Amino acid sequence: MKWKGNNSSRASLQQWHRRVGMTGAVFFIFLITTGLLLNHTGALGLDKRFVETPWLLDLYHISVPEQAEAFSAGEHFVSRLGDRLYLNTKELPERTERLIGGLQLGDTLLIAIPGKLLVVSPTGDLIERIDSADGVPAGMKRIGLTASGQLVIRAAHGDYLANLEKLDWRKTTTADVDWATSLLLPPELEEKLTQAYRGSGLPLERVILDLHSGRIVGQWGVYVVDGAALLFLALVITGLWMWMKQRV
Amino acid sequence: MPFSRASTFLALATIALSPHSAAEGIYQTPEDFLREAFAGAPPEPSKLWIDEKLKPSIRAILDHDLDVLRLRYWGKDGRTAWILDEIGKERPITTGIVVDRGTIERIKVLVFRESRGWEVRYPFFTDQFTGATLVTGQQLDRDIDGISGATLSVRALTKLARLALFLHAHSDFADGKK
Repeated sequence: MKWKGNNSSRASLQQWHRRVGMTGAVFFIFLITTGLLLNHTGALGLDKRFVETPWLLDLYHISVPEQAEAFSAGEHFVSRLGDRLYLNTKELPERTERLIGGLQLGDTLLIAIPGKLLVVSPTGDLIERIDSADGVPAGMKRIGLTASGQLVIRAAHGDYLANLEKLDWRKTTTADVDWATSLLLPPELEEKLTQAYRGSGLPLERVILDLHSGRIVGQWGVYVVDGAALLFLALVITGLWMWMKQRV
Repeated sequence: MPFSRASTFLALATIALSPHSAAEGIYQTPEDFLREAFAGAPPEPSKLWIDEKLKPSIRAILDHDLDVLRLRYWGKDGRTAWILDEIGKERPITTGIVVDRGTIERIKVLVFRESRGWEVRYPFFTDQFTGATLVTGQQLDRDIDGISGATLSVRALTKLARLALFLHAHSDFADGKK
């Protein structure tokens, strides 16, 4: 049985349905693709993969918060950018708002942050965290070495000679301490650090989510995606309508 | 009798109604815990290197890797004491664990930093671990009763108990070595 409605209105509806379908096809493929990706974020590791494209980072205003705070530790540089710690350009698995000091201690590197000492290998592997639970003096202000290479910590209640092997902290009044002093990073290293910092601030998942919702181009992008969704709904309704009318 | 019931009720009410006063607290310093564990004379710390052989089991216990290559512990006469951290919901729970010849002698929450789940610090919970050992699959030899509303804290402490037993077995004080 054929649709008994007006031939002209039927033809118009079919034509409209066809045109909207063709026009919207790109949007629909785009939404389906981003939707499928988001459905498998974990398996694809989208939350652990980061965007490094400069213009995209600029779009999200991912910028370096301030100049790096840095110390030299032997042949290496320990620095902080934002709340991230780096040994040269390698990010360390510790976040901090302040870097107290860094130096070379024997064949390892020592980094002081509030409440903790980090023992790090020259390749940037975190060997050990030593914190208040291990007796690190409260209120660390500076770290340094005596002429004989012993570690000294200036803390809230005085200076301490630190023996990290025995986790022993003894008050000292020695004046002969070469204190770790902050410095400016070489420009090349600062540039690499900036790239490393920016390149770990925007997960791919965030970008795909914003593409899917249209938010990547602001509120108007959201309206466009809403419009595409409503058009898709209209296609479904008109398609079902035409099918039902054909069956009657 | 009525007095003891009243005092029990008051104690429970105090516990139940004082979540914020009980949370985010230092219940014992690690120094005091170690002093207590070793009768006032804790030994010098030893080091355990987390090498490639240990990593798979640690990952199985914690569901993540340790981010350090070396852990400190204190050992004497077949007993070891560990100060370990594990995140409950969002913040680490610092826990002291004493292992004696492969069984847990005691487990104590030293520092609790979250606003809920603090019930795990009480003996009614931690006493469940006393005498626990590891069996196949690095699991404890017993089920640990959970606490409603403290699931993540319970899970964290259970992981730490398993970890301490595992690490003890690879320490210099396992199997009567020292």
